[in-house]
Amino acid sequence: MNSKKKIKTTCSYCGVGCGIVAEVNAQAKVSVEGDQEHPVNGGMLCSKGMNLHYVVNDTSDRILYPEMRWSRSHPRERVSWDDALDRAAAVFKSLIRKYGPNSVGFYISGQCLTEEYYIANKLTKGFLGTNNIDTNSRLCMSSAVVAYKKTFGEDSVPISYEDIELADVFLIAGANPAWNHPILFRRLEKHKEKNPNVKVIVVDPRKTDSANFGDIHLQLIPGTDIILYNAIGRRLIEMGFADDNFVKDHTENYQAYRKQVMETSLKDAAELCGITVEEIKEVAGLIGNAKGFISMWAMGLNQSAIGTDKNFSLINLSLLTGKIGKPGNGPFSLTGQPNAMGGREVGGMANLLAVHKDLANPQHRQDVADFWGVDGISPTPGYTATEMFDALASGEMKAVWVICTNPMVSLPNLANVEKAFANAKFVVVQDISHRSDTVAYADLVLPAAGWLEKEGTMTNSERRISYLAKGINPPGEARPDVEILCDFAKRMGFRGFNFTNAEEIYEEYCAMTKGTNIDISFLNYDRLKNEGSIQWPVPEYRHPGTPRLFADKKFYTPSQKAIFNIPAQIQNTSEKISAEFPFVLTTGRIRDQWHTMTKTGKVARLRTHYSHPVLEISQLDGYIYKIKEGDVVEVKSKNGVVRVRAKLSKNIRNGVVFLPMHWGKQLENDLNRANNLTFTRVDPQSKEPDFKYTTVSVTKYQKPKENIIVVGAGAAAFRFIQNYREHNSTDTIQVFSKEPHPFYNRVLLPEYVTEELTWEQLQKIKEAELSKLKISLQTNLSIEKIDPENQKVTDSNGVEHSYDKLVLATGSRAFIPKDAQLDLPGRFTMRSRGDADKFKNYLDSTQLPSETQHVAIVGGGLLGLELAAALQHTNVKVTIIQRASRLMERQLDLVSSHLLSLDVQERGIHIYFDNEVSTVFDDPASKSLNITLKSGKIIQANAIVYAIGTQPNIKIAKENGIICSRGIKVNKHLQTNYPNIFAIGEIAEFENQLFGITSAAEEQAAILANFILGDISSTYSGSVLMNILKFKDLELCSIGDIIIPENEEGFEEIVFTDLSRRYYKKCIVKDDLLIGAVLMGDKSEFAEFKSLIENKIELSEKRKSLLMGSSETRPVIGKLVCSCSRVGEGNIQEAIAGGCSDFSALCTQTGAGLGCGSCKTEVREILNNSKVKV
Amino acid sequence: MKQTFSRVVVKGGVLSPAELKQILEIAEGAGLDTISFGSRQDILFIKEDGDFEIDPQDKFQIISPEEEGAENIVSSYVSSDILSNTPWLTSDRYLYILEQFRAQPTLKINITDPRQRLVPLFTGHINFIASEHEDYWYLYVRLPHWESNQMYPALIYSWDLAKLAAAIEDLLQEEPETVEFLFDLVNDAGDFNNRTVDKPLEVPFHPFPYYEGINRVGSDSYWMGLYWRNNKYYIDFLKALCDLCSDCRIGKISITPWKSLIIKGIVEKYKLEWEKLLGKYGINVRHSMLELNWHLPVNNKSAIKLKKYLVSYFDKHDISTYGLTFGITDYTRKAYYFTSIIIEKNEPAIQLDGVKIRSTYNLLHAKNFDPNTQEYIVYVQEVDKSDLPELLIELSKIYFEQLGQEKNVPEKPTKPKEQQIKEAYQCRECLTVYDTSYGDLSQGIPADTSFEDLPDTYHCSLCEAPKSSFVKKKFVKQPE
Repeated sequence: MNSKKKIKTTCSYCGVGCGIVAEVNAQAKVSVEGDQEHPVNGGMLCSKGMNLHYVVNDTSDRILYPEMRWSRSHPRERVSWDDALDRAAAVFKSLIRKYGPNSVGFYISGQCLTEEYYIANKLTKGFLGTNNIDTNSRLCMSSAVVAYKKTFGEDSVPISYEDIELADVFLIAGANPAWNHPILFRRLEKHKEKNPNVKVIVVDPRKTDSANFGDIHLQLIPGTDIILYNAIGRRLIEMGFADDNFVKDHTENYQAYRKQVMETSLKDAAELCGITVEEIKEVAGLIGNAKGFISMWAMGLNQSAIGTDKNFSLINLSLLTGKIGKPGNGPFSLTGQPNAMGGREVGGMANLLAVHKDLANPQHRQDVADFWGVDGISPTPGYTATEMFDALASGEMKAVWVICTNPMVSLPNLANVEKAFANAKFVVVQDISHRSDTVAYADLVLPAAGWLEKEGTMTNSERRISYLAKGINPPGEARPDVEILCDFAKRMGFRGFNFTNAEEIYEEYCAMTKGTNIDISFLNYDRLKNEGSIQWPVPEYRHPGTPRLFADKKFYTPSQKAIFNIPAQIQNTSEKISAEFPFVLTTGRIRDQWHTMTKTGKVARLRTHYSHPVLEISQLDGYIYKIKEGDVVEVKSKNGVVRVRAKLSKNIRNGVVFLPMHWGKQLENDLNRANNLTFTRVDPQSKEPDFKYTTVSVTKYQKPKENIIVVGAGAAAFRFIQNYREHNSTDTIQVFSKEPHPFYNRVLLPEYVTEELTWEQLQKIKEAELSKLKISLQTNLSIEKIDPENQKVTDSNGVEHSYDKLVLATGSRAFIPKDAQLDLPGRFTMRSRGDADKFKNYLDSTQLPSETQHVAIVGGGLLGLELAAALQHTNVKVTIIQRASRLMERQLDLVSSHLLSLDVQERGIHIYFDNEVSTVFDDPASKSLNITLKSGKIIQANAIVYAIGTQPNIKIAKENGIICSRGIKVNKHLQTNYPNIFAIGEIAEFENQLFGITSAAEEQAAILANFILGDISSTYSGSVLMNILKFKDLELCSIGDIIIPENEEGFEEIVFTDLSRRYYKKCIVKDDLLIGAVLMGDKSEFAEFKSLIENKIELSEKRKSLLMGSSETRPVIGKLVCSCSRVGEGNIQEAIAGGCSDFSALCTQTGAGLGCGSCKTEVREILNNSKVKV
Repeated sequence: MKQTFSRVVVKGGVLSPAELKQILEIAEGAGLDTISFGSRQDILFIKEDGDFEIDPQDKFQIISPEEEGAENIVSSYVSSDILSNTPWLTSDRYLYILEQFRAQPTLKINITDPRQRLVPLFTGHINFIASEHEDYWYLYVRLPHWESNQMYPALIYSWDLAKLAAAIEDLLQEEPETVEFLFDLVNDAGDFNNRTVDKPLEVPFHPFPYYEGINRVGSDSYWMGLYWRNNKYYIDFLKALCDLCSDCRIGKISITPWKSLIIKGIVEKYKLEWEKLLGKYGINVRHSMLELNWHLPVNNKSAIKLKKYLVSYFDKHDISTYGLTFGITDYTRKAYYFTSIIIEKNEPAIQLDGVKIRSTYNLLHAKNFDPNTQEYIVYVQEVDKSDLPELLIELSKIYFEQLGQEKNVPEKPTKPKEQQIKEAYQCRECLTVYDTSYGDLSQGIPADTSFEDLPDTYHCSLCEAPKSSFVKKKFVKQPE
């Protein structure tokens, strides 16, 4: 058997349908690359597709077993498949018996394979006796479906991707293919690069990457699309660009169209749309003169209360100019889901029948019923997506079966969806991932097989059917969806579900298509496997497929003519903005995420481009509403509220705001969920929700004024206060510092002792700056008691202080061995300025020249070593007594620890390993200390410094009912068991771990400040441990896990050494993630490695060049632009400043755009902007 | 006081050269010229032909054989830095932990790293075994009256080990019978930073390591193991060794449970000094593995004789026993076994006058030859001494055959979950269940309402079938 196998398949994300070659190795681990031979992508993949293997290989989130609640009062528990499906069948039977078939329904997905879609429809419409089956495609493109049907007679996309290379004018309307259909957009870009005469017009209220790329950007007012396209139509007619022959011979209803477009003058139209008359004229001129005109659109038109009418007005431009049925011409709807089209072919919606048959037509219903061998099909259309959840909420529907979609994030007005689930009697969720928010509402959870774990077919947005092979087994007890559905159908007692595999289902469907306009009766699995993907129809033996429809100008309407459909109104019917809700909210996707992030959210490198949800708002609106970049804002509609940070943008129209729609609940909090706000208003024809138009208000989040008490004045406290004050100047902040000196850099104490640094240099903040922070600072005062119930603390003077929020940042104290007599002279620790001053004064008081002084340091960790090095610098003789057998033994590995000890000893510092201090006696004769080691050695020294380690100061917390273990237990918001008490820094124990390093303290402090300020997406997930030794002429640091655990698989060690030069580098890689590194001699890669480890960025190509020298590896500077090659805005600007002004050269030089290319427009914009400045 | 045999407690089997030297001087003062090592990493003073006298000591605890319940703490400090280890369990960590044990324990305490094979894990009454989580330890308890080790249901924090061991000792008079009971008592007695056990202890299998001679570790460091065939170590040599340690800035000397010494951290430049020392005293550090992997009861002549007989047989027939360990015992307390193969000597049968009855032996081996399984399988019983060599060779062959083979994934050592069977009422129509313990929130029925107590108007919460459509049923809960 081959240890590796290659499987040709199709990407499971958007409707572009890129070919993928997946490789499965002996360990069943998957890797992917673009299929070089595939006609769609020719080997290219976008950032999402090229990371698909991470989604497959990481099964940590997968649903592995059926889980069920035996009643709503039961907890959900694991059950057998038999128990699960028997109960489901019993529930469905009993509900149908009592309440009729319309009391149940299926809500499925455009990600379902055609076979799954077919079976679910056959089951529901044929056997359950209801048409209550709808899909998330309803949210996506049902407006386009209605428009196609009404224009051409059937839901048939007329053109192919290959028409892109044949067209010269593109009108992209309400779509951002640069982000959402990247590979398609790359074809367009390439075509334009080769043919500079090609013109791209983009219509969008936001200046998206696609708009940046376009020649003309019409930044219209949301909802005015029909007015715009009608105005373009009017201009085309006036300029004589209408194709009179085509209109006369092959269309109907032209006069009505002409009448409507002539009703509005160009001037009025321009005004209503918020653009200029010249722009309308220019666009009309381009379209009229085009040899090939393609319009492309997506959610910007579809997701609207007048979505179908918007579609009509756009498609009418193609009819008017006769630019259809010819190469390089046609209206082209872009689909967001991989198999939205396949679903429609098999009738996967509440108002459709299989093979494009019409539910309203009794003959069609009978044809389908006969084919399935059932008496009849219900004539009543089923509930569409939003109607279904309304019916659940009202009790008309009792049970819903959700497959492969996450309505708890994706549907509009989520409060209503929540109510629907609560009110439903029985909710089945069939999915692959626990990451889906909907799982939490399920009475029955069924684990399904995912991509590459099952076989079947899909149809992409150019009617291309492709076969997806199975490559690996699903995890746990998960089963392919068709198997689950057929098993259920059999338990319901239905015939006609005895399929042994997906191919038999496909064949049944193919037989059904015979003689229809979507005939694929001559396309079987064998052909798909051997010849690759093929475009329907395939009506004859060996038929090569059909790239373009309507070449004969015969449409599927009764008259065989295309129909001009007249929008019922030209004005948007959505609710108008008002004084209360003055903004229009539009929602949408971001480049590296897809849908509700159950898959893409698992891949760390996809999270960096746009890591958390923000509200994009224009700079002018920001100014008017006093909202600064990064402020927490509250967005309200009549349905709900969202709280996120604001991002001021010059790319969005004034009066319009944008929220990404991907995010669901964060730690039980739903304030990041865009669909809290959206309305359930739908287009009356397509029933598609009006996602792109919600009237909202935006205000800076006004937190009630609070009194915050901070205990401690170290690094964590300082960072907290500073971050807090950046966004809030009204709360009072009281700081209690036990030490007389607040806010200094403790780790620099060794240099302070030796006077290499002055006290001022250690201070984190100067007096003047401190006063700007407006805090009330009490030094020399500690907090002795906390009363969490009454929210009060008592200070060491016995004074009580009330608080609204209490932040504990008490840090840690030096660990002192039990027998150390610190009260006697000559014995020290080194933790505070007081310690340092005492030590310094003591050494001064010996009045010995520094060369003759001798200091013994107990402990060979960071502090001990740095103190030793500092003292040694002033020629003091230093001896280190180390209990362990090597230096920094937790932070370094054997080799680096050994090299370090060589270096230290060469500096003249003595080290005793495996040694402990036995006794320390004063030697009155020499006025020094006699230190006896347990090994018998006696050292004479002037002073001994204990630098062994630290212990967190958690006494007051522990004594006052705050749950502690080693430190104070905190959750992701750094909250203790009392919601108003927080702990940060060395005392905070998160997930059983303490992080005793400054960088962690600062990270926690920043996160806490944001959280208290109202940003609920601000959560802590632990810090990567790291250590940097500050020696003047030795670079040494370690980050993360530097030791490979024994007997564990999947770890790789990459080492580079030059021992004589004390040059040593080691990287530890696990599952394509860098998890640890030691850098000695040169730590220029520190920042980069740290971010790779912290962000858990999959290494991918970078793996090969990890240690190949720093020229290959440079840190990301500024905002991340290219997530494939990891290039930042700063890197690009640097290259431009260095004289690189050619776009292609810029890409090659920086690496940006060399991967999926979806960032190319962004790169180009950076280049353009830099040119302007010059 | 007069005695012929004493033990010097060496906490964790680690001491500094200065301390060893002082102990050697005490032994010398008592007229001894050799010392021995015990299997709990302690030092033994043995005088075979008469008594000796020792002054009471402040610094060292010297225990006469009559004294009961003063046990040494065993630790795997000896293996750190030279054998594989749990990453967080570094050598200094052992020292900090041992330092916490201020009072002399009366129970046997083991503090070990499961990733090494030199120090047995389960031979104590209280066995702390490092977990993967930094500063947390599994605890396996086998109180003196218990038959087997039981896992304590929590992980113990490093800084609680001494406190917890003391708490257990204080509770002995309560005679707890199960570890759960002990757990409750301990928690009543004090506050501990426990952590829940998230996965069972996994002890990776390593073959028994070679522990003698000068061996390289790291780039320029060596460790040295010393083994004496008769466990009689010359005091004058050991004193010279202590001095050399001090010259080389070596801080610690470790004792193994195999009655040998290990010195770590010998730096390259001193290696020659050590070779010279060995040469000068004529010390052999090239013993065959055939004899290193034996564990015998202290000062048991017949056991030594038996071992010699068997080892020479192996030697003659060129048999390899690498990776295995052998133990000879007179008693049958399986809980104390920690070698892969055990030669158990049976009690002689009732002695008939003048007839000398030959002893018989049993052979046992640990499951998979891994003593950490704590499971012993009887191979043969009551065989004659002359049959032992061939039987042992057979066993070694079995060992080598199974070595490296795919092992059945061992059953998780946690006790099998009892199948939960629950009685409840189920709707015949839609299979919805009414369970007394949950009640029915949708109809305002609180938890713990019995089915009988439901009102007659009660109906199925899902399909609204009447109360009469519910039938009593037993449910088997699926394991999570």
